[in-house]
Amino acid sequence: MRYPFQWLLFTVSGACILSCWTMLSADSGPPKASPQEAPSKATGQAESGKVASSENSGKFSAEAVDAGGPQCSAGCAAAPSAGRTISDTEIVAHLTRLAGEETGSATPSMETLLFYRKEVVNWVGVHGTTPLDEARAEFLKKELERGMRARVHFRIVDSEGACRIELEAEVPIGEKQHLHPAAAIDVTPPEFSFTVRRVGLHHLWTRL
Amino acid sequence: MEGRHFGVGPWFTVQKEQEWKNLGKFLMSNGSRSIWARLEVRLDFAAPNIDGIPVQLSKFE
Repeated sequence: MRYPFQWLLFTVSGACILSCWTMLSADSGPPKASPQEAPSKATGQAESGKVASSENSGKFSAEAVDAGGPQCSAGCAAAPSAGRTISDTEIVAHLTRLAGEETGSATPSMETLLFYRKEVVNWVGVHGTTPLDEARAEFLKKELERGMRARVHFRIVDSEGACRIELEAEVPIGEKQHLHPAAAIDVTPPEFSFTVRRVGLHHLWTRL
Repeated sequence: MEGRHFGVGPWFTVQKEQEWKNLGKFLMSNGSRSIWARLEVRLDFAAPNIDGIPVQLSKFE
């Protein structure tokens, strides 16, 4: 045998490589709980907290949305707004002011009540329209009905004036939409992501 | 490219019903060719659907 210790050398090298690999595998594995993080048998708080946190990550459950949690990325027009609502006291104050204003005029009171349509409809459903007279109450009713749905019309027109993409649809006001145009001429049809809101007696807002 | 999308915008607009509004130009591309285009928007109130009127509005009657 030309190299009498070659088998011994291979054996020692193999053992070193195996032990190093075992140590690295142990380091990259899941971290072990430290004594401070270990769940208390009496309460189990540490363990339950960890489970809840891992379950919530990356999920958009209805409970999380109701609790104000994330639903869409911030750049998505469909993300729910975190805007304020209107109080019962404010609704009464606006109705009182509206009772003294010209019927059908775009006053701040009228437009505020129309902006918070859902809350106002719920409130009126319980308390009625006092102190509005019949004409003003009828006008408000018609406008609240009119504020339920919008018709949107989007056109993408090229520099030569040719309409390449067109989308026309009726959508509920205040609810996010993801719509695809029926046809596109020589371009890849995009998706329109938008929300429409009523911001006045004759004005609508959209973000798309 | 399936499963991926690229966005343009956002555009914000407040406009009167029954009016067209030009929200400006942007560059559209399908990967092989690009064109300049403009986005035009019209927003209207839809005619109320009588069947869809909430029950709560009966208090108006």
